[in-house]
Amino acid sequence: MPEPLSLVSLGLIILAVLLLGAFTFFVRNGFKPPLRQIPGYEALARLVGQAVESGGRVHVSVGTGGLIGEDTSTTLAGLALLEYVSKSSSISDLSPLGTTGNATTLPVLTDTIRRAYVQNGLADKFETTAARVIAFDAYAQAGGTTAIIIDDDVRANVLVGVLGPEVALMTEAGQRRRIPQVVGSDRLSGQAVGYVMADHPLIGEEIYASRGYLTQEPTAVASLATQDVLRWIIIAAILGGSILGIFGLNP
Amino acid sequence: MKYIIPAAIAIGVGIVTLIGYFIQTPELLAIRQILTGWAVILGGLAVVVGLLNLIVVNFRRMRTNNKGAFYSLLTVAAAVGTFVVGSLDSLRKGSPTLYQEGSLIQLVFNGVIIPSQAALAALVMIFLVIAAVKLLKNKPNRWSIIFLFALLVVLVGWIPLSFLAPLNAFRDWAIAVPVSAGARGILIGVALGSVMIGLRVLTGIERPYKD
Repeated sequence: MPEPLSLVSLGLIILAVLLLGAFTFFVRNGFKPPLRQIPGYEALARLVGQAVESGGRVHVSVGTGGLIGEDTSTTLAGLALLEYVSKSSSISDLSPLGTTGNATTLPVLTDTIRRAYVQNGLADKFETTAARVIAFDAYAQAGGTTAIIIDDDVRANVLVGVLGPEVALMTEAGQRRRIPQVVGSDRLSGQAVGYVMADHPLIGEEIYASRGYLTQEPTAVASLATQDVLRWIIIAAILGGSILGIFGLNP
Repeated sequence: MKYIIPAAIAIGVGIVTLIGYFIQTPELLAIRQILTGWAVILGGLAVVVGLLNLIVVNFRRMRTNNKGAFYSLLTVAAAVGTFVVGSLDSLRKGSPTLYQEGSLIQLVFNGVIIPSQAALAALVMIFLVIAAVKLLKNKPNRWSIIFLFALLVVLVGWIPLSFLAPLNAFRDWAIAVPVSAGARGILIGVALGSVMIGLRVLTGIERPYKD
């Protein structure tokens, strides 16, 4: 017999799937859920364009997150940004660079960049070394990435994924080259460093909203709306629990 | 079919694994363990591919990029050297020696990796202090002021002087109440975002394997 808490979690997941389906239907039929401004995404299109115009590269790091484990969602969020950057900058002379500190991410990283070139009809321009494993350790990865930022003509730095305090090493290298930087992480320490050192920090769940903001795909916008509904349910549960607790009725 | 088969496999595997977490029957547990085992084997193979990628990228840098050629040479030498030492050591002793006291590979870890990590962590601290000072110049807004104020309160609050006791108490309260509340709020948001990406993969909307 499943535990009550497991049933509640399963119920929430089923509810989320139903909401996602319903919102996708509504968005496809013209419904536009209100989205707040996220300066990081507003700046991203501009900084990728500037990097391409200046003939330089855009570097995207997805951190040390892999595709097997609890970091998978965050890594996929970083890959969504890499997809956008690759599509936008594949016309540049220099290929965008995708770096990771986890070997399981490498094949998908390579494929994401390759796909962007194929979709833009530039398959022959794709470089297999555009996706790189830097090191299998967070600090070593950050240290190795600083060399890429400085030596490989990187003109914009997008660091979104599983990143801890070591992201300071990468952003410092970007600051030395005076390039614009977007930093987002699922870790509080990485977000704090990003807030202090990056031009455009992405805080909290903002890193998961990239597809909705950058591509306006109906399913991506619908998932943002679903997320908001779930957030209100959690807020109501927290407030309800607190009120019950005040009156001594907490189960 | 090129799109349907990978999507069907990904969705099917995802749903079976997810249900296995919530409803724990022996059959589902067995299937989940088999699938997780395959994922671990693929992960192990990916490490070998990753090592090859590292060597190829650095060889190309050696050929084309004079600036970082020496560092690339060092990287390749260190990667190959560690791989050879670790493999031979493990073969000689008949079992993996990574966590065995006094093994060669542990010597490499304790003598090179740990000091390097410590040095880089110390650098992070210096960069952060400099960045915090620059923050007011680069982003002169009320959030930067609050950030710096909180930073100062926490740092000064750790100083063990009796007349700073009120500040110490304020620091404890700040960490326990507003910081904790803010951190939980952010983490709930991260968890929701993470769940939504997972659901997008499970429903086949997000397909990192599509062409």
